[in-house]
Amino acid sequence: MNEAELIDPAGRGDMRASRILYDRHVDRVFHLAYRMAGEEDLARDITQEAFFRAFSRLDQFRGKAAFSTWLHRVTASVALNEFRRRDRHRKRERDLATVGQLPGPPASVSDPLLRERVRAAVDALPEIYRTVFILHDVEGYDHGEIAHVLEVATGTSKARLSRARTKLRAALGDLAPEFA
Amino acid sequence: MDEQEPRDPMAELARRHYHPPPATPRDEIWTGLEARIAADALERARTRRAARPALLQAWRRRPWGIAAAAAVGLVSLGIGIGRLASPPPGRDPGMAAGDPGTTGAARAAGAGGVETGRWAVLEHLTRSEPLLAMVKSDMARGGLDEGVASWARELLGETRFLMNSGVAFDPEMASLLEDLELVLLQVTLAGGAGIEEERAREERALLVDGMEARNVLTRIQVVVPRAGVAGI
Repeated sequence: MNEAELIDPAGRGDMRASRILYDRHVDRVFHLAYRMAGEEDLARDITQEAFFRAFSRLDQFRGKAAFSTWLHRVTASVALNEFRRRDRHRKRERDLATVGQLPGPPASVSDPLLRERVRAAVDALPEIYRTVFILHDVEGYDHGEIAHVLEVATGTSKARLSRARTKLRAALGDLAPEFA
Repeated sequence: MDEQEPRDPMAELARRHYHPPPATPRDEIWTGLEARIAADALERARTRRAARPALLQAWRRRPWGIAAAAAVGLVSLGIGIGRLASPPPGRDPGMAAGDPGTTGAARAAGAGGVETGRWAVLEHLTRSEPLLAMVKSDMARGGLDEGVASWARELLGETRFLMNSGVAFDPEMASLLEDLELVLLQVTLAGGAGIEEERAREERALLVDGMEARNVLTRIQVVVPRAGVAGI
């Protein structure tokens, strides 16, 4: 059954159609939520809320973009609203200078230490840059999809990604020469 | 990934080390989602019920107008059911009426109105499923949401109407409606307000037994998609 045939019954409350749509998209939605949240409980909440909103508002899905793009827009919106509500982003945004001073021996970087350096550097990005970086470089969305998801111009997405990478190079340049 | 946007070496590092996601807890998220959808449906049902006093006020102001509208509705309904249940053109009506093996559903099938009947039954089953899912989830927690009984009462009325109209298009569907009626009745009894705790416990135990024995929720979950695949 193709997606268009599932959307109408799911919008009328058919739980089987909803489950099929859910099964097709939940992995990517959960991955995005987890990458953005960094916590499993919060990622589950965001995923559940995103699907609930999407299923409740299927009548608003006009089919102009792919269902997956529309769903990811809902997911990003839910995640960003949730972070704003919890005021997490302020706690996360550390000064990049501080991140640069974190210990970072490139010679024999252990995984936990490397992970902490990368996490701290990405978390320190301002929200608008971090979101584009996660969508594009981490989760593999293209700029067209990001433009739909974040409701910005494609050029804006590219500019934000470039800015994010520049900031990350500055923060993580000591890890490998090619980053600098 | 865009062709014009070569992957930055840092992207690989970030993909491996920035919050690498665990396996998706699919069923856990779905269970919560299903309960949320059912709760939302319950809330909508409550809102609909809350809107009913408006009809009562209208009745007090213009009882004859409301009675006339109800009568028109009833006559239209009767005509609709009559069309569904009447034999096809060209067929001797006496044959259908005199044949004890000819059910209302079979007559409806002959009338060509059977698609409407099928749609009505499937639509009703689709709307009953969230309630049963919610009851199942509530019973696993040992109680019933207070609004469930009145929601079940609404569905019970519709179930009986469909059973009496003869639109259940095959014996399996007719049997499913009968079992659904019984389970909905048990829900209204188990969730009814103002009954003693001991009796409420007994009714809940009967409801659990009834749901398990009749397996109505699973049967609905099987029948409705199958009908969808068959193009009904």
